Amino acid sequence: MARVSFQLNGKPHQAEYQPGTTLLRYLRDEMQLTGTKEGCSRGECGSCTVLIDGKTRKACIVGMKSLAGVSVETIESVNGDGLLLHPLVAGFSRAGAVQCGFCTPGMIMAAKALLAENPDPSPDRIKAALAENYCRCTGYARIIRAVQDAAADLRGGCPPAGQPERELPGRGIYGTDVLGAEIPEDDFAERACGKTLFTDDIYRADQLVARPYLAPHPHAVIEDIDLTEALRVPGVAAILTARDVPGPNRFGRFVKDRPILADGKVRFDGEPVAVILAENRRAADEALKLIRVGFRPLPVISSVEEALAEGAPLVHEWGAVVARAVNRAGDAEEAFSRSEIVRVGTYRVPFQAHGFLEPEAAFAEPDGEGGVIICSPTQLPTHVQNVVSENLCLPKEKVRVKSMPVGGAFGGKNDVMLEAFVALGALKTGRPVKMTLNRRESQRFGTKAHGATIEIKVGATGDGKLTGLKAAMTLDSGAYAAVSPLLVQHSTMLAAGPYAWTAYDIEVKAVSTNNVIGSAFRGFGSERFNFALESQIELIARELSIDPFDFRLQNLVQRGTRLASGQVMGGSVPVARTLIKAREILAGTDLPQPGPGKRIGVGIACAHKSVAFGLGFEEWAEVNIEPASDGTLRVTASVVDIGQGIRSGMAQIISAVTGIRPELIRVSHADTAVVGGAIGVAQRQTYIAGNAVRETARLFLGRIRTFLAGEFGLTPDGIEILGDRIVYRREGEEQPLLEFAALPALARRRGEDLRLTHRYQGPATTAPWVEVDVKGPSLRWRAEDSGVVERPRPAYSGDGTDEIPPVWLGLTYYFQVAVVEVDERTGKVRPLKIIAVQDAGRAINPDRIRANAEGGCVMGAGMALAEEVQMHGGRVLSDTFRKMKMPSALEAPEVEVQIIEDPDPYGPFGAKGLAEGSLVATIPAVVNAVCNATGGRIRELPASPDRVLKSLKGLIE
Amino acid sequence: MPKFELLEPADTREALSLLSELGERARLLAGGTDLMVNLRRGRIRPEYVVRILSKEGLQGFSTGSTGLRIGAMATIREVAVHPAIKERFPALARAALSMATPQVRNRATIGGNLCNASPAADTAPPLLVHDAEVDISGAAGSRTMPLRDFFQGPGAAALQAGEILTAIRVPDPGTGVGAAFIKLGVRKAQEIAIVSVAVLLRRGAAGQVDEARIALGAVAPTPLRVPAAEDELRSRPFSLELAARAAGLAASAVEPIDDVRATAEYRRAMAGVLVERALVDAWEKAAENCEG
Repeated sequence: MARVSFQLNGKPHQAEYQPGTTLLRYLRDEMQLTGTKEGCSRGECGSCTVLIDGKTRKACIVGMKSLAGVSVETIESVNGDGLLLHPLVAGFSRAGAVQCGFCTPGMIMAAKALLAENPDPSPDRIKAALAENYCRCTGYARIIRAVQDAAADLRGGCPPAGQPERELPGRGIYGTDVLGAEIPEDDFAERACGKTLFTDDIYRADQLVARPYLAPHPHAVIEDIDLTEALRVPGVAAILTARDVPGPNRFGRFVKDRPILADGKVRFDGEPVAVILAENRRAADEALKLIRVGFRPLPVISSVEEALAEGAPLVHEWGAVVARAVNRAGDAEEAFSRSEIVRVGTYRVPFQAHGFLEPEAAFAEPDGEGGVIICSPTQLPTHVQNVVSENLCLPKEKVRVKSMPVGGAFGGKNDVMLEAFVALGALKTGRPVKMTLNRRESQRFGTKAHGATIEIKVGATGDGKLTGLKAAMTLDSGAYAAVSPLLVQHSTMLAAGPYAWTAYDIEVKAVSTNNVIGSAFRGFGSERFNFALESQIELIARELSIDPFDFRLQNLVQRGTRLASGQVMGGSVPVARTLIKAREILAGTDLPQPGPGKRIGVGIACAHKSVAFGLGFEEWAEVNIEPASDGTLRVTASVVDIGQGIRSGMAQIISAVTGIRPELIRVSHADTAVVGGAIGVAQRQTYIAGNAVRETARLFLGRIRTFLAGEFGLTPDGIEILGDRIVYRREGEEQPLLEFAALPALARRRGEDLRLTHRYQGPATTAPWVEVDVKGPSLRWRAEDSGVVERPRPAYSGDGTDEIPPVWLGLTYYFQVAVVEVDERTGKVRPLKIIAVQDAGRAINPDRIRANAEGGCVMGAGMALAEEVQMHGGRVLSDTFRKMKMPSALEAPEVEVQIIEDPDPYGPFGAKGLAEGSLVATIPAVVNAVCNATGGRIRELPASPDRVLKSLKGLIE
Repeated sequence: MPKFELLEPADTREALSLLSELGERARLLAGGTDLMVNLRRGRIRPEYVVRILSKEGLQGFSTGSTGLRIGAMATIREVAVHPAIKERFPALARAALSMATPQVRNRATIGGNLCNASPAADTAPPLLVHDAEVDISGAAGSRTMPLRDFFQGPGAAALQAGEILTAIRVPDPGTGVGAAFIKLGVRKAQEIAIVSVAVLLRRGAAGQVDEARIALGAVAPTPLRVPAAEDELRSRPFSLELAARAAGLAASAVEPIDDVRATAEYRRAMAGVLVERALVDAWEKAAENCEG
């Protein structure tokens, strides 16, 4: 052990550490100062920013030895234990600059160093100071505002003239007034201070560290595994391999093709072969190097082309195409023959990464009764429960999954990631087990957005009416099917966009390769396809010399249009309004003048995205409501908090129904021991869980009324909750009954149980007319593992006369305008501004909607211009943040969000879900803007400087 | 990380004798920002890592009548902020500031940046256009060589086993000189160059180019000078056409490769664009330096 003395958060500190320990490991593992987060372990992401002698440092690359005599400040010093929030913490909360909160403590430390040096920094100076702190949720604008706000606070204490009192918005209101109020999440400050516990922040005295042995080959037979030497390392408790998995060792959302731990074969670089359980990380890492696996390399299928070649070796015995679906209506060829203009194009999209800051993590401990409790940042607690129970041969009730705060997901935590390993480890050793991937491991092991090739043919009449669409999208699904089968089916129905066609013919297939696993991503496949469709539409509009807004406007779907899902659109279809609003905002926007050698480009694109599963899947959610003795209402709902603001949204819905003040409503994360059915995907949570919460709140109010009516001898109808008090109202007179906080005690005295658990059953939908042909040990759509059950498929006559129940419960619409600046000589693009108009049905919390859209637009700009997970020979080349090329504050465009309201018939108070489409529309809007500046057409993402330059030179067309 | 033994000689002299004894089995540690990464990835497997405890003679800056001497263990940050460098060698200061991240710049040394011999080493192009020389010491004695001859290939510097780089000497540019540095990357922070360019021009009284030096990074196995382009400029009156012509010659002299950051084709095109821009920039700066 080595020793070093330094000041830690203002107090003298003597540290004892193993030589080679980094400050981050010391802070977290030895001091449990877990506000300093680990996002990359390589000094690239900024989540672990601390101050050393007042300067920002990435704690993950600071050695303990270098700390002699210095002063170290961590996020824990910022808010100490005081009740008054530090101006930065308050600023971040007020500006709504917190979403998942994983990057926030690091951001605050970087901002603190800046403000110490420069009390009144310009936005550009703030961007530069935060350039090494990534955020994937917010899009940065709010963070910059928060720092400015805090700077003003620190300088003078008083708000700039004309600004209202610096209070968190939304205080004091309740009831239906809260609908549309910009209420912050109740734990913004907690997240900003680093007090929110993410999965990796769990420390138990006797916990073991788990580390994975990931296959170093993309495709190989495992001939033998020799653990002898690794097991001899002191501190190693056990090593898990496929042999330790008692169950079938297979899982998958729709095709059970993937082993928990590789048995016999590995199919991608990064596939887990063994898991080491050790007393500490050092021992685990030491043992990792001593695991000997005999691999016999097999030919690597590194692309779809190779996979589909005649006589190509197979990744899975059932063939190269794992899922295929065709959606056809009318005669596309005939439609083309009647078109004045028909344009074909082939578009390519690489694998792209979710880029969440919190890497995959999971924790498990034995429950003392033969079962296991799992904590993880999963989007699918119920699926995790099912897969673990089946593979560990435990009854479901013995597997409890607690949903932890998610440090960003975007579809990337939409499967079983590490949960089975820690559960198995906890059962095998009888001890708590924690496992967290480092960034390199995450990039190899984690799922990605599919690589895709899209061949598209679009026809239109001379006056700009779309006629036929023929398209074939081939997805590189990588080594395992994951969600590809559903995504294939989904894509065939969303591919046509929010446009009316006379005929279409859409084929989508997913192909197995030895690449990284393609799976769910924000947009669920439509973010791939929409790039091709909106590019092609833009191109035709330009060729016909029709204003691209007008061109789209005259082709948009409306109520009564039959969609490519077979459904005749009803309900809320405000797509034209999103377009008109976007055009109006653009008209009022001063476009910048291009500098010398620069061009300004404006591009637009539209998108739609289904809300909830639809497709005949059963939709349900559960809610448990319980008034607590501290005067709050405790709510556990089937929700997964991915940083989107779902908990404040739920509290607002409950307040609107019951009248209880939102601050008194505490919504906690899903826990399979309390409620099932939490599925944080498919823009469904506000919609489905929101309805569940609404119904439950109604029942709860009824129960309170009945109880109090009996108690006070009143009629139930007159009993109302007004914020924090309960009153009786009759003929305009108001009689106070009791404080809401006094309700639990009264109920207890009377032996009345006010707790309520309710299961909400969503509206029925119809299985789509598009059948998907799935290979492998398919679960078909019974898909219990997804927590969703399909209803019987109705018989379609196919002649368009069927009265089809809805296939989608709803769709949300998005219209985006992008403004970019292109350097004529280098092809470098600066995205300047995105105008994002989005349909919210009804905006429960407009601030959270805007925050989400801002993040989606910046993410979309990054994916359009720079981001790529490069693969070579089945290996991930882009295995660090630096190589992923996510936008930093310096690359982020300005985003202006406008919400359109058009109440949805099914959504709670008319609300829809809308987390994904901002990204889906941004990608083509940005590329269209670039192409309108260059005059060429870019058909491959990202629109990197070399491709942009070629399009300037007319080489791409 | 593979196991190695850490040796900590007291000073340069002791280090040299250790290094000459151990030869290829030892590697010298300076800031460690490249070395540690290479060790961790197993790209190099030395038995010994040598860290010199006293950095005397290897640190700091000294200015004399002939120019500037930079100790090899001066950090990149020190180079970026040193007043004499900012004033007289602004292209070098700018290149240093463009490198990696503040935390890396605090540790990384200029000697390490050169000895690592990356084709994309950020400090190499400006030092090349300043005709920098490097001081090399070995057990057998010391020698000085032009930096141009120091780079021999990717990761290969002209150091014999047991030798260390002790200092970089940069001659005073004199009056009428302007230098520029441009680095192209996709992102602004933490970026490794797709192409980097440094240019130095001396402006003659009659508006002609008295001296021209052009160096590029990340477009060939080593950072390189492009004599054909330089020759094109010398003694000619400066014009945008001349700059474009020279830039074209520079672009045809480079030998870029395709990699994760860019294609060879794009790099070649950008070599031309950046040289042209840097020439215009340097020429304007040279004018300012004539008047001042």
